[in-house]
Amino acid sequence: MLEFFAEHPGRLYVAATLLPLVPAVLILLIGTVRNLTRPYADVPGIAGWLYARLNHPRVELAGAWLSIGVMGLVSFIAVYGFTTLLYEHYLPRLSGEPIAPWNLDDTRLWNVNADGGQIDWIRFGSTPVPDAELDIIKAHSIHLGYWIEIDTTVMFAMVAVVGTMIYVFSLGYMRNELKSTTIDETLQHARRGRFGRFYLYLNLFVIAMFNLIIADNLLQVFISWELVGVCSYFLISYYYERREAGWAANKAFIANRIGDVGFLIAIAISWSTCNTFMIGALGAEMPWHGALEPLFSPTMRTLLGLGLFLGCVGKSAQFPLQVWLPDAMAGPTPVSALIHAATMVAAGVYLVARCYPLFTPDALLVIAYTGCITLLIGGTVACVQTDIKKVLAYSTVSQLGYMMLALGVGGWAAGVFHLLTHAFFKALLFLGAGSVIHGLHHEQDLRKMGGLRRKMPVTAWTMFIGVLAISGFPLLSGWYSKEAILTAAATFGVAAPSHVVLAVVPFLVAGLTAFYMFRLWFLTFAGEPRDRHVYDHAHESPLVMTIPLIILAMFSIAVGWGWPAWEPEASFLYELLNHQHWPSSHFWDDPQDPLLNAATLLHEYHLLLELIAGAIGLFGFAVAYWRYVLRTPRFHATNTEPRGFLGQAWYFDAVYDACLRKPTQNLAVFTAAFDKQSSDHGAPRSLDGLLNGIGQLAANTGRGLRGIQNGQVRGYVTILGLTVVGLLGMLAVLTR
Amino acid sequence: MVEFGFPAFLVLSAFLFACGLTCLATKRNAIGILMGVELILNAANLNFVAAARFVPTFRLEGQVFAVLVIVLAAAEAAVALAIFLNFYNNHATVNVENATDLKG
Repeated sequence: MLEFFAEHPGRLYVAATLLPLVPAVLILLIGTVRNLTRPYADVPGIAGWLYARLNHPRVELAGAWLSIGVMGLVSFIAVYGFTTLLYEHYLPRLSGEPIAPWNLDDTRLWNVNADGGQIDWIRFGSTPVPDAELDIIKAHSIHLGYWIEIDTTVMFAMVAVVGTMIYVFSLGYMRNELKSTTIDETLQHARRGRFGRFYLYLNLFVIAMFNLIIADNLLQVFISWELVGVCSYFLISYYYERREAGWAANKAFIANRIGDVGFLIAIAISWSTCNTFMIGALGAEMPWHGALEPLFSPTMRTLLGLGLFLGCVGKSAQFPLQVWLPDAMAGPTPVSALIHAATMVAAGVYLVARCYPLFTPDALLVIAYTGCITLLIGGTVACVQTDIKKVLAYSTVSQLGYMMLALGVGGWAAGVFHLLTHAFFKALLFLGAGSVIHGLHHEQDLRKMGGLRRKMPVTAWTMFIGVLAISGFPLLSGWYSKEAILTAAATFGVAAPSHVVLAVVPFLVAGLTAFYMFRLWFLTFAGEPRDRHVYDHAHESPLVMTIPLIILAMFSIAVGWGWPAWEPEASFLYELLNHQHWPSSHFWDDPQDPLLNAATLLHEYHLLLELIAGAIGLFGFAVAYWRYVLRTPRFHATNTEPRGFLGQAWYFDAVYDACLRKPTQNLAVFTAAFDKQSSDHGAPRSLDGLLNGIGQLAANTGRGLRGIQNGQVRGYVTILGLTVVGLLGMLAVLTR
Repeated sequence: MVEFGFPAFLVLSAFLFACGLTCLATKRNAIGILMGVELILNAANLNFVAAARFVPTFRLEGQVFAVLVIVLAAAEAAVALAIFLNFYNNHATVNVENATDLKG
């Protein structure tokens, strides 16, 4: 068995992807059997006995522990795979030439061609036929395959580790669901606990997410894309009795469908032009990757990129589809941490990064501007939210905007690096928020918190680390990745002065980030308690919840480290990603390469850039400290729901409601009027009326004719006689 | 003796038929209707007999048909009168407009 994996190390990742299927199937099986035997609970016999055995919190806990164990194993495999790839292939070359990705025949990488890690999934036709016109070999099957590069291994390890932490955390957070009857906190009604279902969905999500990460072709990505989407849907509507949870799930699902249209268009273009779904093969068709005679036109290339990006806009909650992510907080908090902060929403960023060479300069500009707008929206709206999870949700939107911006301006490594560091500290922040919510008995309103650092010190100080990390405090992971992004943005601003706004906005929003994150922390943990009742009943969370917080806090501190630590570029992970060298298509036909020139130029001023970013961040912190610590009483005065432009999140929901929902609904009402009775007793109108009229005509004619056929022979004979007389008369007249 | 031609019989027969038809169409009394039927049958009979007298190829057939029609009329009268008797027993009338028991 070990030889099997040693032969093709990429197989380890396939095994790791499929491993969570074991607990998922077991939990599903147990749940099904339990539900089937429930009617026989009080009947003696095997069914009742089975139900009594299975209907026990211990069974559900066993499923959860099995899931955690499997995730631990997957984490081990992921870390093992990462270090192996690192030591065997990357470290020996780190000082040498940049490693070119996209070389599918390179045996250094665990990719499909070198590894044989590909199977035919659907076969059609018999043998590959060369197409004379297109000069390609017509594909005859759809593949399933994996393609492991350094960013894949890092992302995989991140999802596995964060996932494990969140699995453990959920043991404590979802403990209420273990009871056979639990009281819903919002609706105050009793229902059956759903502990097993929670872990089932988490396992399904993790499988889909892993598959998305290792997939080597767009179709396989799309399948996983939809699977993570549906798991997100299930988990947002986990408390489906709550109305807003159901609405939020629908909203998320529909927003994602809009994006998926673009993804499908991109897949269709890739198949119809290049006859393949393979990301690597598609990249090889791009002129900036040395394709002399590209198979498809520049317009199609841009369209392919924009289509892919539209999918990512939906999944990663970018402008203009960012509206679903804040609402998705209706799900349980560990879900918000895993799916709607650390992994699934980052899948869009990951896909853009993975398909990076497919994007034309125009498409990259669209990505950069979308990211820029998104980070501005998220950053500004987060400043006024009063729900602890909503602040974090808008913060996530903003940080995803940062990643997209970085990718759009050519900072591939910066974007991916920020994706990784963000996953750790945002998972930490969400779990911290979950711990607070748990400790306050499901109170999420920042206005009722305050002073909690005395009651829940571990949560407070681990969250403080997360706040420092996301605000870009030096030597914490967020500092390295944010510096990388800001440098990439500034580089692009210098290289293309007409797009200087892309460089300015991220700097300003860095200050906003510091402001809203410290606002969150101060309102929750600092000062004096604002709601005595909430404060008195607050308690620190159990160890099973605080230990994941501590581990994630350590990751948030250290994941960006390198030597020398005070140099942002020296971050080991960043250097590793940067070394993989994914050039953007910006200026690809310009031999001068303005980006490289700008980078050399900026390198001399990098200390100045760091100082500016640091000063802006410090300013944000100072404003937050002044407003929410020195002037706390003022917060009482403004103790209202968030209102206005920012409170309504730039009126996006209102505009969508007025421009999309209302017209659609009015159209539906208008259309329905054609087919409806005007009132309860009124005549049917239009089409329905016409059809009914035809029927009515036949019925009325029949009713009229019925009077003639009265069964009296006299009448018949009279008619008969008169007819004969008439006919004879006609005959006489006509034959005269 | 005045010899009448074939058309005279036909005219008489038509007159009888018209009388019978009118009787059939106007009478409410079942016996009256039966009389109308008899008139119509006898109008036909007159035609047959006249044809047997004046059409050489129809000599025998005309008479045979006439006898057949008389037999048929007798049978019909027997059946119809039996029905009417029964109807009278049940309804105390022979007005056909009251015969609506089977009407839907």
